[in-house]
Amino acid sequence: MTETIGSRRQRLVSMGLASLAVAVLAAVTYQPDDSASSAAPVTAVDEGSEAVTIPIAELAGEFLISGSSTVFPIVQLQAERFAQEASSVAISVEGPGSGDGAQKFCNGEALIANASRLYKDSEIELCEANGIEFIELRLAVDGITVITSPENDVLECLSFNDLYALTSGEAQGFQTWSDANALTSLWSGTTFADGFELSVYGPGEESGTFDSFAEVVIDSVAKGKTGLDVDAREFSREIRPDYISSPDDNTILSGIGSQQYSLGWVGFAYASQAAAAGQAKLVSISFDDGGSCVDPTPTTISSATFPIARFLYTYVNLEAVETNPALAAFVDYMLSEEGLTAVEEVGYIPLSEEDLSRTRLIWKVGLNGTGQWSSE
Amino acid sequence: MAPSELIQNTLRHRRRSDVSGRVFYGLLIAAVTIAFLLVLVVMSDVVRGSLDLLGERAWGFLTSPSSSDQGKAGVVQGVRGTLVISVIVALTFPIGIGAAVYLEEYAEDNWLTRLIQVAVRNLAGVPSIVYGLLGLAVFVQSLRGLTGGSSIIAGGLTLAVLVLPIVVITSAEAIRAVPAAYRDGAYGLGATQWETIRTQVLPAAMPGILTGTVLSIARAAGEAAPLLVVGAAPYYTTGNNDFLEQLRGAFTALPMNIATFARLPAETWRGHAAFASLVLLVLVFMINLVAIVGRARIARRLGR
Repeated sequence: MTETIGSRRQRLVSMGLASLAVAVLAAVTYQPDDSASSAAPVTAVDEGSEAVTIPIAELAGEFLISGSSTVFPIVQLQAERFAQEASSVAISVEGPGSGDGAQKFCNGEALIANASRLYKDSEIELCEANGIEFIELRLAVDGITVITSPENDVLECLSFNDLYALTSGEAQGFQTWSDANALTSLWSGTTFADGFELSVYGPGEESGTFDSFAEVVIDSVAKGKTGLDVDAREFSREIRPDYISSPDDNTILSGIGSQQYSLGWVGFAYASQAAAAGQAKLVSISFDDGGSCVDPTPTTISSATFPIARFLYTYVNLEAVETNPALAAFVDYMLSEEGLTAVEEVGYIPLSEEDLSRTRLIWKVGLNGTGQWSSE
Repeated sequence: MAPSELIQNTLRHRRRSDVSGRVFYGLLIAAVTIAFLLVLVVMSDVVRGSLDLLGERAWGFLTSPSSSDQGKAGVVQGVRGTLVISVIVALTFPIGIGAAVYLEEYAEDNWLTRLIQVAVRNLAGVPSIVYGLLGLAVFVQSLRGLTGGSSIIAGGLTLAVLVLPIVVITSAEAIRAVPAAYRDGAYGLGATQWETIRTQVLPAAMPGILTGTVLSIARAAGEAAPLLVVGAAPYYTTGNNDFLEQLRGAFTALPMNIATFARLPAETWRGHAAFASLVLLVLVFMINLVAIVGRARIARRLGR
């Protein structure tokens, strides 16, 4: 998986706990805890005392879930189903964005916050400054999908280098596909045919999808991971400023459909629904020039064969896990077999077995802090 | 020159020189037609979009809470939120009317009064999102103890502040339009200033004040941007919180429902957005109707 988080500092408050977890991970194949499904009673563990069991229907309390708009549909569906059982629990779910959610989470306003990326160092510092301890859980996988108009019968596959030549800062001002040959010829890559007008659509800067595309595609090329000689010349780390951006995925999709040779990118959930409705065509992607082209499908994204994938995360306030049994029960539900069916239902891709075991283990032992999921 | 001749001359004169007048008249008709057509297009678009849902489960849509399931999602939380917000906004009207009475009847005409009047007029033109930021800083954060954070109280008070300048201006205009003879008559009969205002000025100005206040409720009911900033929740459950706890808990309103529906991926959610828009239009129309009827009643009682 091409997640480039680099040298994130490991901030484990309890190193003992961490090494314990790693040891357990290495030695044991974790069995999913089936008792955490919604119908069964939930076990809330009081620190230092024996487990107290409260039936779900008798749980009371309230909490706010904030964070990524990408993750919102998953957690909304989970909250809705959880609330059918736990009718006395008041849950609110909102999706202002990963960054806004981090602010609310680290101020203690939101007790759970979702993110379409790992928290940045500045956000972790804010949490630390406010004395907020958290558990970092991986929830699902999302593929960033490159799309074009359904009428485009020419385009089938693009490499990272092609995407760089079409959408990076150096592509500013390119009006036709063949303009990009000025860049691709530098590394003797793809030659685009003359006469096709290029119009680029994508999410705006406020979006996690914008960050991820820049980080996964443009940065990989600029760092030489796709085989280009980055010492020979300066590469751009930016997305070209002159594309048509919108915070609304539906606007991007209607733009894509309006131009025969359009190019754009959105999250897999939106792209696959649009493709099924005949509004967009999904473009295959290869990591390097001449590499094999991979279609974006649930299988290729979860197995990381599809090169532009990212993980979706949930942050849980550690103190609230102990003081708010309703919240603990909800996170139990989120990670249960029944709860996780929501991931696929709203169009995202489930975690691999290994990641799922790991995320459940982190939750079970209450592993504090970030660093569990850094650079793979 | 006989009178009839004079009239004929005038008519002929008008007919001859009235080319520009006719052009202007034509432009006005065109402007009215375009405005009317635009309203018609919006209305028909909204109605057409909501037809499917209207036929399938109109009542279910009106009585269900928000949901990610298209077959279950509804706007009852939004309708309730918009109604509560309207009540909160209405509760603050005495402040606006009081300010208008003070500015028109009591305040001396000096630089301070004029400064306040200019400030109020400018406030009426401030974009609503700015009031959202004010609401976030004051009602959500500073007064968290009272409002409970991102709650319907915070949202309602934010919108009340948003429409306050409009209430002050329209009330002041209505009070200013009361003929001086009313006041002079009351003073002449020995009434004090407060008696004059209570028995003469306010009743005479009431139709105008009422129009202004109810139009501002309609404005508040249609605002989405400030509520977005204050923190309306796209999805929430109330658990077993009682009414008072719910006032201080998570909330939403119809414009937020529309925004949420419109942003969901599947094309079929568009119908939900259209139907929610229709509900909001009907609600605002009903509020306006109350204003028109109330105004007519008061006017009739005053015999004018």
